[in-house]
Amino acid sequence: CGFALRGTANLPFSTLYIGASDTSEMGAQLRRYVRNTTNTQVVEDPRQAQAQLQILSETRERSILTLDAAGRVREYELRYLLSFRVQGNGREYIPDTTIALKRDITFADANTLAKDSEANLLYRDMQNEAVQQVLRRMAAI
Amino acid sequence: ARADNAQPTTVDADSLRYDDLKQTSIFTGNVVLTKGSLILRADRMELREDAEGYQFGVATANGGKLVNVRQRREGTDEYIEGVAERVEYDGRNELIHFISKAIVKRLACEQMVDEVRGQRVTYNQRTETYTATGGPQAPTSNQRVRTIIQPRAQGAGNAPASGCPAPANKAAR
Amino acid sequence: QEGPSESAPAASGSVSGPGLRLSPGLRVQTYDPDQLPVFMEADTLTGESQDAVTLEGHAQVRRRDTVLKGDSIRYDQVEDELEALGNVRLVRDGNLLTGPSLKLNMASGTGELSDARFSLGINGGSGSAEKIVMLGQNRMRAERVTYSGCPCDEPDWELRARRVDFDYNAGTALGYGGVLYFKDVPILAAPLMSFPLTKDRKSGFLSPTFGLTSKSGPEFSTPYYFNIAPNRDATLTPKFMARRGLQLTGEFRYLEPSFSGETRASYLPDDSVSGRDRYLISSQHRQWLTPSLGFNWNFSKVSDDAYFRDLSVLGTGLASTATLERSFTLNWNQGYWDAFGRVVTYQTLQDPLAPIVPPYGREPQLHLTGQRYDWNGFDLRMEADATRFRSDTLVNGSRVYVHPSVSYPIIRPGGFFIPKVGIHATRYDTDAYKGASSYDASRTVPIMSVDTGLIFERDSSLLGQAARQTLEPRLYYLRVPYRNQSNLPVYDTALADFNFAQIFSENLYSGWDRIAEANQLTAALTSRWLDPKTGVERARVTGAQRLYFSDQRVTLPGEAPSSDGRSDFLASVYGALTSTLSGETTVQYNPKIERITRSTIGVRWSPQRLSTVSLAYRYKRETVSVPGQELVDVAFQWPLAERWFGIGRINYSLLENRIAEAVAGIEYNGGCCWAFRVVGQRYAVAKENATTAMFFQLELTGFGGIGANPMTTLRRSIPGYQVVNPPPEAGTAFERYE
Repeated sequence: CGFALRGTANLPFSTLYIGASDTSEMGAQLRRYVRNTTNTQVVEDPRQAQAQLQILSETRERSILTLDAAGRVREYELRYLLSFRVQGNGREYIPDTTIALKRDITFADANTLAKDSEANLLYRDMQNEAVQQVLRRMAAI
Repeated sequence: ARADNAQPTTVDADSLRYDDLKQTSIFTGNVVLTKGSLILRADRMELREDAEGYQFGVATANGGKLVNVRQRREGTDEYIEGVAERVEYDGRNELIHFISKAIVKRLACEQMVDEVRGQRVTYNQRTETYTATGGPQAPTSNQRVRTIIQPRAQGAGNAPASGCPAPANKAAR
Repeated sequence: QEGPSESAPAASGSVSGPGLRLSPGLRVQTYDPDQLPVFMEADTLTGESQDAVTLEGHAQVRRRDTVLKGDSIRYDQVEDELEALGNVRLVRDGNLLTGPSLKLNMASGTGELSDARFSLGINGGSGSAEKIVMLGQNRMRAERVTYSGCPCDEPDWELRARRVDFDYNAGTALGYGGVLYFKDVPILAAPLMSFPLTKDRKSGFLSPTFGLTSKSGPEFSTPYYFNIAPNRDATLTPKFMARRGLQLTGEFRYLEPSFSGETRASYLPDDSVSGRDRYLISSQHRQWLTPSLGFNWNFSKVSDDAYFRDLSVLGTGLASTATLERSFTLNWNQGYWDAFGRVVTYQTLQDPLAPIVPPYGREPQLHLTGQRYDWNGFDLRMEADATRFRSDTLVNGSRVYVHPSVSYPIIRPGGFFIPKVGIHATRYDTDAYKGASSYDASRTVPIMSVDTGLIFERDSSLLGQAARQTLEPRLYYLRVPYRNQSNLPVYDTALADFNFAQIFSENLYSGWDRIAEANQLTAALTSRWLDPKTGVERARVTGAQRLYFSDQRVTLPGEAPSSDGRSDFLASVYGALTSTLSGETTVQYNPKIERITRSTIGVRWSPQRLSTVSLAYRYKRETVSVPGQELVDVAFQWPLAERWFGIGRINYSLLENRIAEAVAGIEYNGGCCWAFRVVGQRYAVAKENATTAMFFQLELTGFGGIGANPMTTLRRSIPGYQVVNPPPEAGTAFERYE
């Protein structure tokens, strides 16, 4: 049916600087996937890089989605927004772009604490999906 | 300019014709009239005197050239320089009329301080002021009177008599 | 333009590349007004004395910063003074002043104009005054003036005042003894009224709001905004409520290089309905002492449990919260290590009809995280936590756990294989409680998992457009041996929602008091349609299910162990079908009882500006621990007729046949400088108790500054809501040329 294993993505720059620290999960994932799924090498010095992936902002939002009959919050909507751009030797490969993802999370006042850690799990899940979307957009340059 | 009036009027020209009937002398060709610091250059000029001896002149230039008048202002280093297609000199009232394409400039140390353009600019030698009106032959885009006044050093009034920084004070030609 | 040139040198950030640079030509040139030539034009011109000139007939005096026209103008060059008579028009500082006569000193910019009309370049406002005094340096005073900041020919509102002082540099105006008329009806009077001339942040009144709520009767609030500094501002909102009295709300925000925060406080002395003082305090603050050491606090407190039920707090997310957090956190990070110490307690607002168990306070909690990525291919993570849980009604105790883990991710373009091993060791010291003596317990359990998947791709098409389709099978095996945890206390743990994030996580529960036994395999298949040129995901279909090879004997108190062989089946479809229509649905199907246990369907259509409709249906099957839910949620902003826009949000619960929340409103865009809104809001605040509130708002463009608009809930409750009357473009001094 025409499907084939995805091959190495060849990006129009051979060295890339990633504007996220390598001690952060996002920074580590971006470096690992660029190194292993593209023909581009990750360099730590922006001056030597032919292109730069800049993480402009990363925001987490929470808004009330539904209320229960007693007027208490029953579901929150968690939103994660990652805006980035890719620039290099005089060209704007990917202009300022914002990836917006959202997840629903149920809520009950009694287990406020548990829902805090569950929300962190969902934010990390959205962050990973955003990283994958960044990589797919870079592969399409 | 008042001092100039007391000065004699001399006129040089290529040729002179005296028209007895109209009691006017007609100078033609490189006409230069000097009266004290007033110098007028034209191609043709008619000059006549009235009974009290006041002189009236009408100067014109041909071939698109303009009549040129230059006069020093009393006790200053400032000069008035005006051009027009036709200049009428009225000795009695000490008026100089610049008519059509008239541009009159006031220069301090050869720097343009003011400039007036109009169809007709009348310079009053006695009060050292001028009036101007617009018209079809005004040398301005919209046929109206246009004046440019350069800023003065604050409160300096007229240029002091000997204050010109100009290197050489060119003698009046 | 007067004043020093603010030519910002081109931003020299580390980014090289074709960044735009400020062209020198565009800079505002400065010049010394005394060095400017003056051009004059007229039908006739007479020189009066040495330096005075009179121009007659369509006279015009032009200088680089000023254009003056009139029937006749006298210019005295020594005094640098102009006097114009007849049809006077003066263009200066971007403003146009007209009147029968004018005296102006060009050097100082001071002058007078009698019964003049004026229009301001800075915001397009205009008006007339019996006398205008120009004070130089971009300042002007108008006496017995009518002024409207509305930049259109027929201004719908105007301010009639004894005197108004305009200051264009500061961008503000001060009205003395002013009365605000809207369509010739006086709506606001004040001895002193300051309002902004530009749309950037200036102190001034914000749009007043009239309201009618079922709890407090008619109410009127008129917020005043203080622009203290570019990085500090405050809003003071006096709100008069017919039934309760005067409530004063203040909000103060600050943003400094190393710290920032906002504090909001409301005080309603002697609420005549409840007969007591009502107050709310909510303060957030974040500060970095050194690049690696900082602290923050988040403190909220209200005077009584019924505060939110009685007092509508439009525009804040606090309306339906029942637990208000109070925490102080000290955080530290250095290289691979991140740590924080904090104290967190909660004020619980009880609803007598639906009491809840107050959450534990963590007094204190110490937490340490270490992450070292790609150390010779290994990822090392370490999490350690020591917390003392305190509660008035539940058992108290402390818990200490350490959770190191290591994984070796193998990533290839066509797939990935990530084995991971971790150990979770916990120790509990529980106090005596209701007769039971204190005891301690511990639990150590390994957590092993393998996450692997492949990525196939092919060219295909979606709705006739080329697309790159992917097919991504994924397997996630998790092995966690059984540990009897029935005697362990439950401090911060609950069953997590079952969704695509949880189905690939190491624990059924969120929180660490229970670590579910696991010998399970999660299988998932995802297919995405990507836009070939940009890689943007235009559609996605995903299915996943978890196979259990052992029973789940670890339970929370009151939960029954389950021995299902398979979990519910999860499926989700997402599609951005066209640029204006997108939809998403998620379904959770329980094969054992052959029923859908949870589903959400959402569609959003926004064909053009100011029109958007979003529909959502949420269904959750009732279970022993989770109440059922069946909700329809409609939100729309739609043009009803020319200039009329309808907005609405209805959140209707089919199970309880009751509107949980409804917002409905009409907005009228009254031409270029005013908009009128009527918004009704009804939301449940307790079991059988709902608040209905009506709000009227007249927004005068060019009068009210920006700031907290009580209608901000509109934006939050209606996805894709757009402002009906965008603020006018800020004019510049260069706008007008004659």
